[in-house]
Amino acid sequence: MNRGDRPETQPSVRNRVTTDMEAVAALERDAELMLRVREGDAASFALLLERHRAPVIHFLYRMVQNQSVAEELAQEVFLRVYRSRTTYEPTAKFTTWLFRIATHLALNWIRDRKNEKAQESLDADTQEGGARQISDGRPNVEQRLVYEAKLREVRQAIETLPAKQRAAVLMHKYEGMEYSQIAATLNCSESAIKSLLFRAYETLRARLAHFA
Amino acid sequence: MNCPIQTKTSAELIDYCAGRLGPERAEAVEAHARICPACRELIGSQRAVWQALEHWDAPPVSNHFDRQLYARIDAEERSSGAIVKWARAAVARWSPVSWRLPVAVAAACAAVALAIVVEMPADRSAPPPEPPARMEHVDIEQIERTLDDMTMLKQLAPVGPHSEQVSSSM
Repeated sequence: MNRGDRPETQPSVRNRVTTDMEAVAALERDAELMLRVREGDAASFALLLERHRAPVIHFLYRMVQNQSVAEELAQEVFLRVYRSRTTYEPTAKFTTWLFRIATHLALNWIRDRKNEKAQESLDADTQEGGARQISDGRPNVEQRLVYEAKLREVRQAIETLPAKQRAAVLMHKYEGMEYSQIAATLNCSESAIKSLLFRAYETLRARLAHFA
Repeated sequence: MNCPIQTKTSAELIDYCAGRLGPERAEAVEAHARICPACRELIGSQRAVWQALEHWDAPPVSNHFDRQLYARIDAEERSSGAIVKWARAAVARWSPVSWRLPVAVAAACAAVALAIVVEMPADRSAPPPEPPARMEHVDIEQIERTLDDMTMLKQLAPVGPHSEQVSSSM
């Protein structure tokens, strides 16, 4: 393997330290904001919502693959956060707690809808949101069709994963969570999460390797 | 470096592809991959997965999300506020009748309980008092003796004016 093959995203030590410090500061800020919400400060709740709205909705969207359901579940997540304000204690990371609620709701929704025909909503949502998700300017028809075919394949590959594996992959890939945080969110040991993720990526490698 | 696949530590390869390894570990993985076809293949296919997943952007959050959320929060606040108001109104409506009697009864019960506690002997381990039956027995004996004495005195007393003199002098 050439050095040039190293992923461009591999951070330098200084960048990594800076990022870690920023992450710690952000976590402390979240807990502090939540404590202010407990004291009745509505502005702090608005700040928390601003910071975590998009990650929670995007995570739920990829879990349930339906935007309106994702937003409905996300509202329930933030409503539960608001309801819990009086009893909140900063014993765990705020994001871990937040994603635990989100994952719980998503897994319940998936379980309840398991026997329903999810493909309909998947296709409808693809048609509705496909063109919007293309970010490279003005694609021609062929590019658009190729893109949509790839996207459908990715979504179907994710959808075929067992719900817990799906949640772990989404938190690992899109939320950039550490194994320990995913483990805390899914209430598993760190080694169990590593094993879970490895199995999930193994399935995805078998289905998506031709993307290389 | 030992082969991550053989040592069941493939998470390191996944972390490498995700760009989450420090430079030293990343270089070790690269050095190993140069001599290990299995790891090289896994890294290649894992990168393909990583890139494929990056195709999948989530749609933007709808503009009405916050408005709907705050509407739900307001509705909850109103309903909980309404419950509190209803409870307060109910208490206010019934208070002249309902709270005085229970309070009076509770106060009386408390007074009785206090009296019982105060009257109870401080030391329960002390020996019990003499049985009252023995006291009654003693009293009866005394009364009997007194009556016997009076009867004896009557029998001894002489009949006549002298006797009246004796009895009046007693």
